[in-house]
Amino acid sequence: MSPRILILVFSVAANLSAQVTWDRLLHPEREPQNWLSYSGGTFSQRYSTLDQIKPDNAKNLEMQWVYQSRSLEKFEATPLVVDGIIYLSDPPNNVVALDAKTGAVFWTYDYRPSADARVCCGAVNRGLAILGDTLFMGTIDAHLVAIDARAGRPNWNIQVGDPKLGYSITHAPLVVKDKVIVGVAGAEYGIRGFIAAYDAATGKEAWRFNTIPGPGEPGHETWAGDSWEHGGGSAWITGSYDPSLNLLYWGVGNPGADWNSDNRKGDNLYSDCVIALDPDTGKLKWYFQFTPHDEYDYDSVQVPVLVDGNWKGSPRKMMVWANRNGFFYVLDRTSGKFLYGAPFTKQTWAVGLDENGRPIRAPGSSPTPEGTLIYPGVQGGTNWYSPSYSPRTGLFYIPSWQDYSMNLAKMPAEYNAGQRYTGGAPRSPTPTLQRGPINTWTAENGSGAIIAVDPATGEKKWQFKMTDVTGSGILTTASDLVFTGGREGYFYALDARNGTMLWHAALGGQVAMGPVTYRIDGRQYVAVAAGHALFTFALRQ
Amino acid sequence: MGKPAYGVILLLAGIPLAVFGQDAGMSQADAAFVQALARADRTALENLLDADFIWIDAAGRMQPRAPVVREPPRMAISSAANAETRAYTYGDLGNVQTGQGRTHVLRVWVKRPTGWKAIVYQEVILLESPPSFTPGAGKDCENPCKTIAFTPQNETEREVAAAYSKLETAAHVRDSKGFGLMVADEFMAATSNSDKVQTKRSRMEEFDRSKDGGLAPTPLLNVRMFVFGDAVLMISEHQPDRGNPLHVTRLWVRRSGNWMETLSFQTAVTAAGELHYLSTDVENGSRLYRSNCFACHGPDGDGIPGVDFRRGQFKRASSDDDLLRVIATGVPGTAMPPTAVNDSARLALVAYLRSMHQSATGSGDAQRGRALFEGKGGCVACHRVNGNGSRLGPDLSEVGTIRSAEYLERKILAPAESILPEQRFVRVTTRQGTVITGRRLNEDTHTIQLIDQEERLRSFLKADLREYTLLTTTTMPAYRDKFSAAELADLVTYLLSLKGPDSQ
Repeated sequence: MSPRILILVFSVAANLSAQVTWDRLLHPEREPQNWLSYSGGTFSQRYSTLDQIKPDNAKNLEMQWVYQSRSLEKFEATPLVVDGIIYLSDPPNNVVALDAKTGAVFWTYDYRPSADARVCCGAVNRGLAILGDTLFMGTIDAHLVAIDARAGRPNWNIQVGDPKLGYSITHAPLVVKDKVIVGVAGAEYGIRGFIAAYDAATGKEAWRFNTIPGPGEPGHETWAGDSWEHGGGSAWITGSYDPSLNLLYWGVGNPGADWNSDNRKGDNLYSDCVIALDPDTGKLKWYFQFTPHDEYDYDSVQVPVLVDGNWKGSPRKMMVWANRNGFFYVLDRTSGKFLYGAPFTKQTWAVGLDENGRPIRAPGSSPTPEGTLIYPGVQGGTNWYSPSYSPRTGLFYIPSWQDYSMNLAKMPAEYNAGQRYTGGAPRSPTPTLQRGPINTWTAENGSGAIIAVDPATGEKKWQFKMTDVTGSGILTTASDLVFTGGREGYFYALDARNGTMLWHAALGGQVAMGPVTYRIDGRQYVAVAAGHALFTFALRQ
Repeated sequence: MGKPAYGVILLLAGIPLAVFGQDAGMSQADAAFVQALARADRTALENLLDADFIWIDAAGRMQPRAPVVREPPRMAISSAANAETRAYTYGDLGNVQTGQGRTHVLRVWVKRPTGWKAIVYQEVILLESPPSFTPGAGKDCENPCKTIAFTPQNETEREVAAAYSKLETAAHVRDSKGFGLMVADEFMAATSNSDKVQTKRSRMEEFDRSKDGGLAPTPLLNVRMFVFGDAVLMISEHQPDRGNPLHVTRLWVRRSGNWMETLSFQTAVTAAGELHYLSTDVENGSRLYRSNCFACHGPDGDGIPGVDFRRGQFKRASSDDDLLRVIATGVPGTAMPPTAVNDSARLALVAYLRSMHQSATGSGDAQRGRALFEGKGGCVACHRVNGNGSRLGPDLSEVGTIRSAEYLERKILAPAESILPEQRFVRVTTRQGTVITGRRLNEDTHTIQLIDQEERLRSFLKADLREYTLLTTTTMPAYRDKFSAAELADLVTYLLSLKGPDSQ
């Protein structure tokens, strides 16, 4: 055994029973063998420094073990990997702890959501957070549950929102310091969205930020009449955190009703915004609105990806963002200033962005009862699927839907508590949330593509096209690999520099989560969910 | 057009009071147009309407040429009695304005090689009393005062767009002098947001009094321009900060090198638009019907007494909105439960219910149709019904549940017009050069599956193929000349009777 491996084994052993401190969460680069948070780090780059699997040996990847979920709901969860143990949510809200080396189960925690729970788009869960010895999970009946990571039993369970009114939590919580932060879903039921922080030890609410400002709150004037009361603005994907600025970033969802905006004249803040909050107080520091007065359901629920680099020759703290509205953006994350924006897929709702990044709406692009053809369709140019940024290649990798449209019919929108409040029907030749086993697509359906964009110029460096669209997240590694999947059930290793397909496996079910990588006993693994199972791969020995 | 050659006809109580060199051809055409509408004379309308014709009624509903010819609408002013009419021609562009009480009608005429053609018919009904608020651009007039969403295609369009922005700026800041320089003396504005017709003078006086009279600049959503030398027709849609969207028609003429507005007709869109269904809605609806409605309403939609979808008979609904509501809420106190589906699904269900009504059961004889299907038509050479026939073409065992009579008829007469994605044929060439054609069953990024001419299931790795092509043609022959009208009706009736082996 070489000295290097010895040290490695030692470090793993040393961590075996260590708690996941805030300091460890702040420095994921010190322990690439783990995957400690939803996006792999506070900057949410989904980039790993592990490099055992490389472009020239990726063809030797082989399956190690499979974990079969008991659930038939869509598998959207990113697993956490903590010192040899995988913590995973089984949709909607059961939790399992697995041996990351064999897939053997340590414990299960079964949570039965209230029958009042209602979710627009699947009874799903995208993952967990961990701090100390405690796992945190948001539930589809809008509870936040703290679970002991060793016992697999709850420490506390609090109600965050009223499920009867359509409030739910589907994303992985984010830990910042001693707080657990979650946002709510439910804009399709006319909720009034918020993001809230809870004391990790007790579950006591520390602060709450209303994504739809009420009377007296700044931004309230961007809502006509009382439309704010059911203004949506849900926040159903995990945010990011910059310790150097002590700023928390979160994407906010669509305004309600989605497609009939008659009674909500105005910009409808903070729907379709990225907001920067003080994580200690929940106070708003800045915001940037991608789609003012959205009529398309272009949620800005993408993971904010933070990048430190050069912008036009000088160092800058940036945020890169491929939005559901079809535009790619670069923002200054200190101030929220707009630096760059351009479409990354076909879009017809805007003629472009003005100098402040505000879209200039295209003529005749509002939904009508007769139906209006709009690109991109309702699922957007991309959606919540995690992109990735590789500091090595300097490229931003986007799971995108290309040439994808909808015929949007506007319908009456009347608010009834707990019922759908959307005001329209987007019709698309492309199935939106799931695909069946059959694909008889034509060019009309569009297609999926992983695109690699240089954030400094907006230039598309390469693209990897798929016949079907993709709802998979992306993982990049220090060996210049891109791992990703697609709705067809293929799992890919691509060359991060040029998009060449190096290896693929047919897993027989759609990939709808972000793959992760970890290391045990000196061996690098990649884990990906497809269909209703979690598959792990490593190099043939 | 160095010197503006415009003429005026002024009619009061149907008697022309003054005629100044009007274009006789346009006047004749306009009279013929009014008569054709009154008599619903489709042939005459066919001749009189321009290809770009639009009809905008008082509620802001807009119709293109085809439906107007098919079903001529009623005019808001049908008799010339008590109507005041003015007409202007500017070279190859002209207009006729008629007013009667609060109702104002505009007809815009263009001179084509084949004569004068109507391009716009528009109605405006003025408010009964002064408006409580004036919809406009809001405090800051960004659009249309500074920028508008319009890419000019030529220099004239660019000039007119600039003149328009300038004019709206003058109106926004109530600059009567600037306004006066950009509107023609014959300027007339009628809007459904005001109780008064505006002239150049009344407008300027209002600006001087610093009051707004219902003609505030409204942000422009989109615009089309038609250039006729020194005269331009501008048709646009606007969305004010408050109130309903507007359809606006403007005419511009160039005088002494300056573009001047001669009229502005603004109709607010107050009518709810009508839902328009796609063929995919009907298909989705038929699936949803099977899983949500079939058990009680039955395959023919007549399972509940008093309700018959094929006859369009409902107990508690008549409009599509009613149906949408009943599906969502159910009918309390009856067996009809609320259906917890999203808006897209509800829309699809209504689309299907409506298509059931349209399709009815066919006017022919199903037995004779079956004989044609299996005999003269040779349909079984490609199609399959309940286990009999070829597997190469689409299986038609359930076609009666998802297709209307109209659809089936078109498909039989002209099958190449549209081919559904799932009925596309594909041609693959292997590395060895073998060419295989078949109906595509499935495809992904790396593989393709098909049923070939010998009805074998084949699967190929795309990497192993020299080429693969999704064909845009169909092997189905057109039956336009093969069947008589009676035979076609029989065949369609037979197809409509096919509802799957389960329902027999």
